[in-house]
Amino acid sequence: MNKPQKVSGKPRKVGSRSDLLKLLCEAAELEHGIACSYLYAGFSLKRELAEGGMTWQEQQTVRRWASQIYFIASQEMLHLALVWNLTTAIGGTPYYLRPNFPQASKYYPLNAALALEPFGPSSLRRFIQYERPQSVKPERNLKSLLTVAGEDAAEIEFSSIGELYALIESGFRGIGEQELFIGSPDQQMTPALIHFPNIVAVTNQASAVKAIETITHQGEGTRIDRDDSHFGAFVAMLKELLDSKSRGAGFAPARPAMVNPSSGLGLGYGASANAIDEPRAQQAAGLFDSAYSLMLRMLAWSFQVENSGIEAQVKEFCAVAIDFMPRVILPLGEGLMLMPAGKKYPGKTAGPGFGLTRHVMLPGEAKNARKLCGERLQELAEIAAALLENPLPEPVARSCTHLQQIASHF
Amino acid sequence: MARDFDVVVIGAGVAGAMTAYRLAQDGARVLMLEAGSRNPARAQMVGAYATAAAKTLHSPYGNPETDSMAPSPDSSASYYDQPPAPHTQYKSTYERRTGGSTWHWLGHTPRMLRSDFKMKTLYGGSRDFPPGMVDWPITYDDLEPWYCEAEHEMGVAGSDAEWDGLSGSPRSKPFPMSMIWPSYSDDWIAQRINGKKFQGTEYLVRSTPSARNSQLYDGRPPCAGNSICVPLCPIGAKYDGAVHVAKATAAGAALWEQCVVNKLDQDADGSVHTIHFVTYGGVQQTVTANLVVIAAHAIETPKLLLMSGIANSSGAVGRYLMDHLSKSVFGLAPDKLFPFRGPPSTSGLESFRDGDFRKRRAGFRVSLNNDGWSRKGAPYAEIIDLVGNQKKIGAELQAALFERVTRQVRLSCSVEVAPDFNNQVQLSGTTDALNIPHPKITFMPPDYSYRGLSQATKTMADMLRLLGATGVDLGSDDKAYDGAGHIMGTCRMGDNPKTSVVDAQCRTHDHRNVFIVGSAVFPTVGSPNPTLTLAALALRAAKDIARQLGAKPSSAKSSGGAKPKGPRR
Amino acid sequence: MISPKPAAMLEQFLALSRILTGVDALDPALGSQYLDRLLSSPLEPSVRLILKRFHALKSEAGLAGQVQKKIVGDDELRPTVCQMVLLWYTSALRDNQSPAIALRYGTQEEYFSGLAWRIMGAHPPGLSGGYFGHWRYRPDNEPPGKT
Repeated sequence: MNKPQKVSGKPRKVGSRSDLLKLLCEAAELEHGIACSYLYAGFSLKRELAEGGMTWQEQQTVRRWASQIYFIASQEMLHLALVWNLTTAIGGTPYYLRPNFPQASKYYPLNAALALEPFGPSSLRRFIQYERPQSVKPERNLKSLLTVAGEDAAEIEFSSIGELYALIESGFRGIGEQELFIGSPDQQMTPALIHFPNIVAVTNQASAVKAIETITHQGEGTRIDRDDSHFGAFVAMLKELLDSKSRGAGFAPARPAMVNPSSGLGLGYGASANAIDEPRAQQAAGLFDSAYSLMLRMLAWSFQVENSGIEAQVKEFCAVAIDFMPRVILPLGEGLMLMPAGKKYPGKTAGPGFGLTRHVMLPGEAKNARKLCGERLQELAEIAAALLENPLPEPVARSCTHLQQIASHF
Repeated sequence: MARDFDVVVIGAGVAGAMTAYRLAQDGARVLMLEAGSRNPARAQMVGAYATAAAKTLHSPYGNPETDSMAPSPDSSASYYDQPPAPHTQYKSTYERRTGGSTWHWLGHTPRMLRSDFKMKTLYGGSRDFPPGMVDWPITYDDLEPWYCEAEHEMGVAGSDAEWDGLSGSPRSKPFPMSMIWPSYSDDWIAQRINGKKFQGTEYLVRSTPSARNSQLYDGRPPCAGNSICVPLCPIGAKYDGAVHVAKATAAGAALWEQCVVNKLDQDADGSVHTIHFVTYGGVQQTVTANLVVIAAHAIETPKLLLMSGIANSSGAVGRYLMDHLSKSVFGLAPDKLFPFRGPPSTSGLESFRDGDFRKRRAGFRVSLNNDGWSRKGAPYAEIIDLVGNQKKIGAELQAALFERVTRQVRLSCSVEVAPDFNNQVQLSGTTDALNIPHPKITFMPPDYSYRGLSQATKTMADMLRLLGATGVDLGSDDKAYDGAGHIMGTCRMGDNPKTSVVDAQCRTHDHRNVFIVGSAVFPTVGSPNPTLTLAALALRAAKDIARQLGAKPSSAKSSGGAKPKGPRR
Repeated sequence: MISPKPAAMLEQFLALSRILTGVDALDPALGSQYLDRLLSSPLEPSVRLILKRFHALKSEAGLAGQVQKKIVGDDELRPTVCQMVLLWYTSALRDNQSPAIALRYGTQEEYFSGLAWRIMGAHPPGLSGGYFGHWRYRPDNEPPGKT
């Protein structure tokens, strides 16, 4: 039986730029994949009383859960941004790819595979596993919380994201500063260029350590177990959910979204996902993947280029990408979970697959990058217009209209 | 002599609870005596708010028993005994309940400025300068480390870049959390006014430091934009005093609720050890303490002292009642600003708080608000007008409502009230259900403050002009003001026992073992919201109290035996 | 006691409400509660009159225009129309005795289902508008078709 490789207690040596860059790529993949996993759970939480399954008091709780999940997801996105700054600071390129869902469970040395799953005890248990600090307070009684009748509790020994960052930090501390920080400071993203107040520009060892500490303090690699971490928040959420389950039979906070959906665009890119079986939902899911991919590329481009002299365009790209999140990605993701998944999935609704597929990489040259983005936005706007010709759930319609607006203003 | 407790804290609001918490942590045996009741679950209070006919400060908290046994100006419009209009009214109110008035505060936590502590030295001398305006017996530097502590205890979110060093008032520690994001409206306004000047002072919009989580903090979630901070945060992202009540009891402090203190006895040697209180059932009883902390907010505290005839050799108890004069102005912006989202206010302007002008008139803060024209009945008024008068329905109605409400702007100011000996709290002839006198309030804003109010109105009018606002409403009465909810000044701090009630450690001059915490001790008020300052003072006082107690982890022996389990009901 | 309303009356009320509010997806359970509140208020006679008139109009072409002209345009009926919209939009009924706007609410479910807030790009006060910081951006539920 495969046990996850136990890394703690025997640090791998991070002796070279190449070692460090590989770890940073792994961290980028992880932060990114985890953020998608959280967003999927967030999209699945019901919003309105008319959806059924919630009293008004429960709606207060469900909205609070959604808000916390989105907040945590936004912090993962900040972590990704920090990893990108750390990467370019030492001469690398921001890594925005990730394996498609579902992921093979041993792809990362974590005890829980990354998956797209609606909110519920199962997804919360996985989130708790992703965020586990290196030591957990005994009074949390974590083992019993993670046990579902009939399932075994997780092994206490495992590799954590915290250990990954510990290795990354050791690399930054151990390798000579002069030799390591060869990236141009002009590549660094700052709060002036992108709406992340807590983003740290990385130009030397001290700022690198600060960036890493920002990440570990917020969520994963805490050495001690703090209530204010992502871990603490998910544990509290799971306890609350299990409490209400034992109280009210009718409480159904999540939409019945399918697990690990695929829009069909991702065929051939590994992963044995569940292809959506209903044409309009499939179209909408395809649009989601395309919008998501464009947003990623615009962000990664901004983190990669030397921004002096082209600050206005970098700001614009970041502003558009960040505008995408609440106005296109969020409503489209939520709206997909109001559309039927298809005959193969009785009782289930669709969902976004976050499928990353073959795509056109953006050129470094600023004017050309802008031109390509503008053209692609127009293409997406046309797909949105076609979708709008027929009735759609309100959030999907809204997201299509917003996409058209963004494209026309670009 | 064996006493029931080391310390009895009267009032379990933010000041009392923080003090109790620190002392309990130090090992003292502490009792918090609270006149009001404990609140029910948050969700229940949200429900009460949702169905309340008027969304008042009290709308989540109504409870017939508490409202009659521990009445407050929040629960009863006739609680204050003050002459009716056209006499000027004291408009700020408070709650009496476990956790206190911070249940419904907005949550803003700016600090006092360096000059605010030295008004007389810096600005005194002219004919226009109020005679009651004095220096604090402490400086900004004395209080600064305690500001940092208070920010940490409450969880304050703010922008270091915008606030460090403001008006010569540096910060020795960063904010515990990064700022509450400004609203879309704030950013829009900032783009149009930043850098411009009004009568020589530059406009600059800053995010307002707030005791509101911008991330998971202290086991409480980040703000999710429920938008009803006033009167209640549905999720506990906004700090309220109940946080420290819970910490105090977890640290071992006792909490007796629905116990209304109605007299403190002075012993022959001038110390106060016996506290008389009455329960809602009318059972009058006593409890004894080595040291007493009064934290009943700035109206109940002087009321209790006057009822007891203590701590008042200066004649200053109840005197120098202050507030901030608040005023709102309204306009319609030429673009959509999307109010009714996020906290009711996220940004403000600090440039008008300090300067040479304070020799002649009061300074003020300006707040940008995110609640549209809700104070003028939006969106109900608009719906009624659009359908009832303009006959709009369907898509046309939706478009018109969206068009109108999304452009609504409200600016507001908070003007310093100067201390005036004649503005005071006394005992009314009217009594409540427990035979305790209501407070009798006399309040007239000094001309110094009216001049500040006038300047604030002109400033806000200029801002609306710069925004290109139409439908501007500056109010019809120059002298009209709202209360800011900032009740201060009735037991002023000072070095001179002849003219002040407490010393620089918040210890009453007259009774060595009686301390007062809360905004009652402010000798002057500047223009910031008082809660952070009173919290800093309370934490500082707790240290002095602990020192005075000689607090070591106290054993049952040293304090004379087991403490009483609870009041007799 | 409210005299029991026939199912047809609820159907009419919902159909009329769709036209008045401009919202198609109205919750029938909510509609039933709102109709009950209207029928147990002093507005009852006026409500019945409106629904009767609406029933008569339904067979005519251009229903929305007819409603505008013959129901909303009728000065006697319009105050009740206003109350209907107010109910769906905010869950409150206005106490018409008072010149100031005095409101009466129903249940919490009704309050949190008010439609006005979404129309304004906002949320019922007391219910979360979303994730931390969302107020910094244009509303993500901004009505489509508006710039």
